[in-house]
Amino acid sequence: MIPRPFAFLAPSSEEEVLEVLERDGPGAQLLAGGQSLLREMKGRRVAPKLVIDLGHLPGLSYVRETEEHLALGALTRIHELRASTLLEDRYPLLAEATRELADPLVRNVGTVGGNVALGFAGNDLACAAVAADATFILRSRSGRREVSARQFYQGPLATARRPTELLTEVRFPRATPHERGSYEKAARRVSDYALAAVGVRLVLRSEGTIAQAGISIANSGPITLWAQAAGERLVGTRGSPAHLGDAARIAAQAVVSAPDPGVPLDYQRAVVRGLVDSALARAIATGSGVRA
Amino acid sequence: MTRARVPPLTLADRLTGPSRRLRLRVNGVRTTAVVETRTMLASFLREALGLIGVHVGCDSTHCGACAVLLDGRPVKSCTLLAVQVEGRSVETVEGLEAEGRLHPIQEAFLAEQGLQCGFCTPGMLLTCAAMIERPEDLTEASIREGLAGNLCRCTGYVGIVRAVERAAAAGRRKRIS
Repeated sequence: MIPRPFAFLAPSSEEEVLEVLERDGPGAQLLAGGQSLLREMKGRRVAPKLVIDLGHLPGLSYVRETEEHLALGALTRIHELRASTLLEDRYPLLAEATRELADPLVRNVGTVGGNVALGFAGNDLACAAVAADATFILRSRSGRREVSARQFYQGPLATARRPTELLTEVRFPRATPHERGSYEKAARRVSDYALAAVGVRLVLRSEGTIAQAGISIANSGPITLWAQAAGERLVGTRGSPAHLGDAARIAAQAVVSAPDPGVPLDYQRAVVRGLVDSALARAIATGSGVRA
Repeated sequence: MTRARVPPLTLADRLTGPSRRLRLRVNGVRTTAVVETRTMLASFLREALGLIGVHVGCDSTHCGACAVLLDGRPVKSCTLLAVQVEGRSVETVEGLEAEGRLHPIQEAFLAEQGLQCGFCTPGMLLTCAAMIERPEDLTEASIREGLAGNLCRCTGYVGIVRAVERAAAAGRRKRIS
């Protein structure tokens, strides 16, 4: 499969990228690792006139923890993320999502930004970002803004990123002392994209009740779904099996469609229900091993 | 093993869209070419350089038959633009042998029957070659996980895993000695 022809630029600085976007943003696509974008371009579902290669930009590959958040540079390769002991120790949702993402070869090239910015409902880091209520930092010539992951996805391959903007960083809330999280994926045998996947982030109070619960679902609708009502069901509870089962049932209602016309909607709902139940149970039980 | 001789196509005669000069290392050799920006790395390696050991299986980022090493890391060449690897180093299966001698992973595949039809084999060999660079880290579970991006329809992976274990063990012995 061959993309339509396109002009190609490989800027060497962020400022250069922003200048090009200001001028030619509409009709252009930003190329990070290309593991999502090039698939779409080869299938001609996306056909930019201009491709801007971000591969030579310095300074956008990092994993940093601050007082408020965990900051991931948009050009951090997935394999670099996976190697981070910070994630293994303190950010279980991210650690698991990164492990489930595609395969080692794709992880060698794909990037954090690329896996959240395109707006494909199957992307695992997008799912983790929605579960955790992450924030995306977007830069343009006119300035900088922050958009919540839960507001970012608007439709298939459609996001709140303006054509003149570059996504530079993804911020996850800083790990709390009682951080819980997990990511479960019902992967298809020959495809790295999931039949469905579920991300869970729970924040517990010291006495064991759930203070915050974020549940997200991948590949079960036009966008990454935020199962808001399911999460709200858990707040204030201790996450007993009955509560988790209830939340899973509610989450399944959020499913809009299956990723494949051959999959019945009821089946997709049943899969999601099982994944949510399992992900929640695991998140509560394993205690994440957070060293606060 | 004899290397197939295929005269490279002259892509320059067939550039129909925006093009760009590309400089990179391929199997240790500095290479310059003019390619269309939309040419995938797999096509470039096969058609411009005659490296038909790079196999295109699914052409959709799943099967890994197209795997090559990019600065030592296995990647899917069907899902990289040739122009994306400007200035970098690519190794194909043709680059594994050195001065007529097979790479340890190739010898291990032969000893353990790590192939049947051979279609996945070039990509498989390269992914495994990269894996055995760190033989200390390898367990059967980590080998299988490392192979997740290379699909084989023939072997059931058993011979492949054995080949990696064999080559890794030899590598560990070498390091000790």
